[in-house]
Amino acid sequence: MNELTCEEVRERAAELALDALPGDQRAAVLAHLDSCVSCRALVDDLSMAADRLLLALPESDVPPALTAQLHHDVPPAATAEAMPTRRRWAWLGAAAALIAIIVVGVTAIGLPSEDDHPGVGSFALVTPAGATIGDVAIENSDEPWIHVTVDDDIPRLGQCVLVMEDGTRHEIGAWPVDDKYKEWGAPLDQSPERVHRAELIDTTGATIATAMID
Amino acid sequence: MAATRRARDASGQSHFGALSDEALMTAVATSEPEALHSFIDRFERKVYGAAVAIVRDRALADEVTQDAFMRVWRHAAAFDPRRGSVGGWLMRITRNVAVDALRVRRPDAVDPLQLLQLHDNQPGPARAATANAEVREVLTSLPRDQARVLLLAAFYGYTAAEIAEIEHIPLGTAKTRIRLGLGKIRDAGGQTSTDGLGGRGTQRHGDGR
Repeated sequence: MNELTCEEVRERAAELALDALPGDQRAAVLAHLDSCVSCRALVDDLSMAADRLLLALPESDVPPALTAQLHHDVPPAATAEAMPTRRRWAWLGAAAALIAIIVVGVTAIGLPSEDDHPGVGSFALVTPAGATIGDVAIENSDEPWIHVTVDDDIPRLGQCVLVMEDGTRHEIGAWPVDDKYKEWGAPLDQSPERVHRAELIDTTGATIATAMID
Repeated sequence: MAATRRARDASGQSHFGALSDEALMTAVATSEPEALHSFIDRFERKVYGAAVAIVRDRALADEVTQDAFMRVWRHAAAFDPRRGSVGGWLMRITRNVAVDALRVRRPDAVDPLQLLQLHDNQPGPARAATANAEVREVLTSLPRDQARVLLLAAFYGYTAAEIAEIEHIPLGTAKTRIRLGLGKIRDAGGQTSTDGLGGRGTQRHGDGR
């Protein structure tokens, strides 16, 4: 999108402040704000107003079981990486699934040799044109785990799908719209040796890249 | 249910409870567990309340709440107090997690104005702090169509294009209503900078949890 004028940005400022601007317009507006102090001030003002709207939502008593769970899940006083595994969203949908699995719990990957453990290792994500845009790492030390890393400038990330030797497909992760986590990990329910490949699908359903798992 | 709460000092209070929101946030960013516990105490009703209001499903709200706090632990260091309040930042996270949770299914056609209990007769938490009363006043002064459009964007993250489709109005009308509506909220704000929580946390005394 071409650079926006201040007037065009002012028209979109409220939507941006509300986190309700589509991705491409958002990028263009943010680019303008980088170098325009007055538009930046307008957006900051409106963002505070948007905050007040959200803060006007009613509070609620919290079920004791939830409170206990929240406190239980507080990570120990180590690094930020040592966070408890977050279970997967139970309702990961199929079409247009844009729900994040933000699972942080990947320990340093010390990969066993592939000879001993088929399906375990680091596998390049390659586009149809032959470019490598990231990688998929599978490990099986404490528990089967898959870790996906994607280059920063890949647009419209949608889902990561595992295709098994028998052809069945399992969606194992999805990116939320406008959220740009480029690296995440998740427990792997499938047996690593039965995985044929991992596919990265964009939000239109097209395959961005494939990692052959051997 | 296992009692897994961390030990408190003799008075039953965590000293983090006396910190301002921003100071507590700084402590949370250091991953100090006691700060995180204190943060939960201070904000869980806010997060859960917002989650329930948006997703309208207690089980889902549970998951949304847990994930919202997970995001806070992960991104605490990224919080910038110059950009807004801790409460506002937290509410944005909660809203985004809640909206993500809703994307797999179409929400029922709930009037978002109901989320704020603007026409309620219920006592209790609906009678919120001053900042909330101002917001409610502005919203009730707006034409219902304008208020509803604004809240569809604010609470569900619907874009103007999506709202135009939902409300059967032209795209330009949707954008205008969003802009005018939020502008009125801003104009009514004055110099208020409270995040609606009273700034300093008030630690509950042993209530059996």
